Amino acid sequence: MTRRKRMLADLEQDIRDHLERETQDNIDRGMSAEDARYAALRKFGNVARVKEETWEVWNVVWLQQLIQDVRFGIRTSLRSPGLTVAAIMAIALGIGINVGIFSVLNGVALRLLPVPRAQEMVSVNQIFRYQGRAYRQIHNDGSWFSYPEYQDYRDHNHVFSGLVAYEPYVEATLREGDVRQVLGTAASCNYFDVLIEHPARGRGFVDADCASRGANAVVVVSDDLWRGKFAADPSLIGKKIVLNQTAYTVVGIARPGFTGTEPIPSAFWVPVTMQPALEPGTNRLPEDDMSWLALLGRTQPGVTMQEARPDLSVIAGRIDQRHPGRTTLLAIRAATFFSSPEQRSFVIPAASVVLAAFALVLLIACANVANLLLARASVRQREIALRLSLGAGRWRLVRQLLTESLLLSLMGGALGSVLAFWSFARIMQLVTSHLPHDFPPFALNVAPDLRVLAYALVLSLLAGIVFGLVPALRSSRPDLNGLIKGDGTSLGAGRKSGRLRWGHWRCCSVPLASMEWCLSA
Amino acid sequence: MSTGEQDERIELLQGTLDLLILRTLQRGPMHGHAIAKAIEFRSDDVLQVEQGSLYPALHRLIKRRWISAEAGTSENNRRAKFYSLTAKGRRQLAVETGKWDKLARAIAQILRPGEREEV
Repeated sequence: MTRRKRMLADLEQDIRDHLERETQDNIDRGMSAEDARYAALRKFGNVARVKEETWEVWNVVWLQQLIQDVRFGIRTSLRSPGLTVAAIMAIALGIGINVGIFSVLNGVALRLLPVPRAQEMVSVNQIFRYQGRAYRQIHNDGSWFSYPEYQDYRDHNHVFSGLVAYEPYVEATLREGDVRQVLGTAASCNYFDVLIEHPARGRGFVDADCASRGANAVVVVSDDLWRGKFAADPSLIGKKIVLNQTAYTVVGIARPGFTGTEPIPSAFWVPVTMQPALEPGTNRLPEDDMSWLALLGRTQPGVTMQEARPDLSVIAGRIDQRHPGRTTLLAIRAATFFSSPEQRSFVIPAASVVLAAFALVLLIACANVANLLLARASVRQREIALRLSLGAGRWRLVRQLLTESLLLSLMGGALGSVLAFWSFARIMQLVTSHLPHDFPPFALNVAPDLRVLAYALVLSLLAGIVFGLVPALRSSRPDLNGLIKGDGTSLGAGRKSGRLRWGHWRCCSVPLASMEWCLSA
Repeated sequence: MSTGEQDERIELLQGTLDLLILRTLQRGPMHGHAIAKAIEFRSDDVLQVEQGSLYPALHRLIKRRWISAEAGTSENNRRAKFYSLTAKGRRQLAVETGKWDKLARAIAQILRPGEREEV
């Protein structure tokens, strides 16, 4: 027997003993037996309340009340199934669409890179401050690096076990039977080692591949390209393929599913030193003041981003001495898609607008459910008045009504989330179908993770409070006198339920219509 | 403190009862009724404990492991539950007494500035 149970089991006996002693004392003082008993009880106070208070010492009261509320909430919901289904559907629509959109945004900008031990990867970017004129050339992204800058950071930092540079989205013409345009990557030769993405067949790059500029025409092709273009021919390794009029020897085939570290899949990788050959007519390698290479570092074990900053800033200060009038700030953050400040300054406002727009759909759904609940509360006013007059605290009553609405919103949220996860492929399609036609497919992972589940949960709780609070506050303050005295039949069920049924329809159709509007906008 | 008349009884401050129980049990194990009597007697009946409120307080102290409860027999050979101070409760009594003294001194200084406190 637990301490709690033992203590409570003896309580009754203790109180009885106590009262007997007090009675005996009173009798000894000369009272009659009956008077002595009453005096003892008077002195003791309310026995039932004492028991209850003692009981509360050992029990988590709010938890038990919560269980009561949930039980009662389920019973109440079952008693008006039409309203319950309508409310759950409306909330499921509102939350489902929001969770779907969020899981896409999560895949776009919040998930870590799809590489092993991704939590070690950091993205390094530059923000420049100029006094006077700025000369920097920009190819792709203004916060990226030049090749000499990359070499400086790679060779002089003390915080990375490896630092990768790459130029994404290099367009190339693949001449292999027919002509095909593909997107590829020019990468530093430690690329596959630092990302821990060793090709499934053949090899990645070795230092020798980058030793001399333009001399080592080797290529790693993606699994997609290998299967789609070369019919998964295992003898492809060692053969030559022609990209932009230069012949490259295939040395490796990437792991299935590895498509680089950008949201648009890379079909091939060549050493960064092949850039002049890959993009004929340009030679970015010697340029010292040009942004064209994205940097990804893998931190040494135990090194945090806060420790990386000062170390890298020393190098930035040294480079700044080569460029009078320029000050470089480093933006260092966990590596995700769209890590650079320039990309984020576009992605974050866009995502916020989209999320806010779809939050409005949920808000409209909440408003409608709140209306339904208010209508039901007017039906339930006698029940509530009775509880109040029997001594229920107002806060306790509000809590019970809120529990009921949270029950609705959580069920709606769960249903909506399941729908969202199930249909995320369609949502993805929808998003990509609004992009230009020649846009390549995204390599987005929109599967739910902890962040998405947390978002769904928070949204459900918020929705429950939003649509439950006003009806709860309103209906817990009725005019007791009028209601108890009043004739119950005036609140008869027949008339009300007819009106509620209209509410059910509107409750789902309004969010649906607003959702449609959001999607087509 | 003055001697108590019927209408000069003082209701206990929240939490004070715990302190009084601990102090009372310092003299040795006691059953519930005896604790209530002792508190009333020793305060010259000024402090009126609604005897029932003793029990939630006792259980609160047991839960905190400041006191313990054992079955025993009382002076006239009746079965009773005896409460006694634990080592932890003894330490806590010292701490709480210190706190109480500080509080009492502070309030006395505010109510009667310049006068020495009479104990």
